[in-house]
Amino acid sequence: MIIHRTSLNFNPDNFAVQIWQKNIVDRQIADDNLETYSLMLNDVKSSLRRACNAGNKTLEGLVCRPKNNEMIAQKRLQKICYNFLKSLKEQILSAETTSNIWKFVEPHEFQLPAEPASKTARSFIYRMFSGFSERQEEDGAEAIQSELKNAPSSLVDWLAPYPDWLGAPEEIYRTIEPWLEDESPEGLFRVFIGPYGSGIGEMLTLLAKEKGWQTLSLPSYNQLLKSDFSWLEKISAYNETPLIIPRLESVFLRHYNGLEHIRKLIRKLFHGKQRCIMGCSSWLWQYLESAMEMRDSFCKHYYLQSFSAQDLQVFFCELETKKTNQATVFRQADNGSFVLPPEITGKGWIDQDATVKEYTPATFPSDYLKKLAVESRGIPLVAWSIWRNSLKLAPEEDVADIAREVADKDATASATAKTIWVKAYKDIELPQLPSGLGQLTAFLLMYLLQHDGLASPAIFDLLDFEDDQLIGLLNRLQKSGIIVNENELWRASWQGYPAIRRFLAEQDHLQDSM
Amino acid sequence: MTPEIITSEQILRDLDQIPFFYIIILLTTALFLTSMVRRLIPALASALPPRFNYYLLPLIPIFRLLITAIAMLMLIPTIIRPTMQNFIAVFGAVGLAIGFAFKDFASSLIAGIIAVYEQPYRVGDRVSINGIYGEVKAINLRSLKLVTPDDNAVTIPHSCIWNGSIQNANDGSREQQCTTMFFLKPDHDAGMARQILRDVALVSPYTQFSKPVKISLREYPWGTQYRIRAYPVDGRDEFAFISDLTTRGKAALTEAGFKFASVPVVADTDN
Repeated sequence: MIIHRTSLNFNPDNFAVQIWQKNIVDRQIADDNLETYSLMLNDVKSSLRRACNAGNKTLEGLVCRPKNNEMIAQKRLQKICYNFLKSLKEQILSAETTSNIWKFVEPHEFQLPAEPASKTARSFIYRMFSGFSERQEEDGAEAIQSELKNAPSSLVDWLAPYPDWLGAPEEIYRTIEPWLEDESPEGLFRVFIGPYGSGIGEMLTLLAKEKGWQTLSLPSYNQLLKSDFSWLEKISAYNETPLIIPRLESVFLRHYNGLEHIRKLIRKLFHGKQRCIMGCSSWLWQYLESAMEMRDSFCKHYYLQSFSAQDLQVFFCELETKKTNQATVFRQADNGSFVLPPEITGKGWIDQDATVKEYTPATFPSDYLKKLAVESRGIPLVAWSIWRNSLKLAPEEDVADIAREVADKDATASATAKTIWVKAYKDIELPQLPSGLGQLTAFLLMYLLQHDGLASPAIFDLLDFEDDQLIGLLNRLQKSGIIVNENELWRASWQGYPAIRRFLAEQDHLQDSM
Repeated sequence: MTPEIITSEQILRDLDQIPFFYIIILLTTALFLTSMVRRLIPALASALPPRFNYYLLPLIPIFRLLITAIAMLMLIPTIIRPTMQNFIAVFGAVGLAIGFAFKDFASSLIAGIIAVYEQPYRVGDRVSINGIYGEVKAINLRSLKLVTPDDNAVTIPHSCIWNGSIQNANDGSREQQCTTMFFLKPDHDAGMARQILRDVALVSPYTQFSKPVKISLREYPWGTQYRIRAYPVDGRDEFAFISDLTTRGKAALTEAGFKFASVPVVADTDN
């Protein structure tokens, strides 16, 4: 049996690799200790990773036995090592910049994620000329996809738990730090605006908790409805620490008695001396700007920058790695390509299936994430919800076993990475609005977005329509997945948000700018 | 020199020369195309976002006029010998007959052609003609069809454009200003009432915010007239919008303790 003893010199900065291989014939190694060719490559990569982490630049004595006793061409191995070192460095860099996925920018700097025009043109030309062969592949892939099993909710929660928004409060604080330290600041308000599903409210609540800042005690629905302004008396005229209003929607009601609450709040804060930091949804912000021309009342405002595909990659990797030490790889169901970098989610353990495409190094962020970023408009919870919907299991997986495994928190990590299949973006079925819906639907959805959800009594109070009409509509929209009822609160579903936004645009209703 | 006598045989083609089958096909095709235009364009408009209605629906009379004109141009030479004398004779006779017998009909037809190009009204416009207010549902060759707020269909000949005035509330666009009136007893806080009515307009789901919301007042001996001038998102919701503002406005004013003027008066709607 021929064994290759391989040594490498490498430079982790410019990825240059020098390789020496030497045949060893007389080495006695039991067959069962020798893995396949692909695993050998993993050994090389693991060793490279360890060497990088240790700050070494030399690897010696790698023992390899290629499949069919073929010697690995040095150039090929060199290329693999080069690509791996490069991706390793990218991962390290992206990990270092993790906190930067939360960015707050001035309105004119805000950008939506977009596919580059050149890429769109390329994909168009590719589609035109790709012809019959691709369709055959797709047909096969569709057959495979149809066999995939839905991942149990416990597994999905395990792989993509609800975001904890860590990193965002620090970024908010960093953004306003000069203003907080300024003894004669320009204006006493700072508003942070995010689209529906951005989590701005949670971020500001966390910030208040971390810094020990006062949070506004919110008025009840009846207070807002009945012109009871007593809740404003709790706001002190002066306080050294800022007042936090995590969600301005909490003091807003699109009712003839409701607007006065916002006016009085602004008036009170304006005449006081306490700094105030507010969170506001882009839908309410647009309404306040268009209907009440209140933009200038709030001095300065910042937009939460939408997530790019790269940001989404970091976001999903963080969610997955925080929850578990189990190694997992995410692969696209129709072509097997990696959706998230296996170096991160695989935690060094990549199963043999995952290495099939080893010689065509995946580029990250993946196409799936690029499409998701565009379709979700880079909104964290919209993207997160679609991501959860995309996670599937292979047909041979025992769903019950996995559910038990997930439930057992003391279970030791398995030796090989578990493969989670991700539906191709084109195959994801997102909720769509039922046909034949009219103005009332647009009104209802707009009100839900502007209030960030409404309880049933509020819907009936604010929308002056017949109760049975509204009940029928709520049921119909809930059935189609466009809206959901959580904790007695109706709100637009995150997955349904792209369809809702398109519908409101078609109906020429007020649109947010995010 | 004796004038040339033109006989009917010389004007019309001989019966065996008239292609009856071709004429039937031509007329059927024209009718079919007209019918398709009447069905397809509204169907297309309803499939697209509402703002496209105002571009697509006015095309219906133009297409119908074109189809009719082309069909006539193709039909006439198949019946009449195509000479200059024949055309002059035929059109002269037709003109004479129309002049005496179908004067009003011809007047409406010509007015209809002018209306297509001048566009004092288009399909989808809300117009007031001879005191009748409604939405233009169809423009035919001779007349237009209005549907009033009471859901009555009214047919008005195009000749109304010769000597009547036509008030067009939206003039081909989607926006239409709507006015909602309230009458309050004179002794009240006008500033507060104004603010309440402004808020009423701002919270209505119908309100279009790209246009201003204005509240105007006028004092009368018996009370104060308030007018909310605002635009709905879709002008077709005019009456629903006014009803919504009226309902909310009455509730808001009552809740704030305002008293409505109860003297039976006729509102001066012209100012």
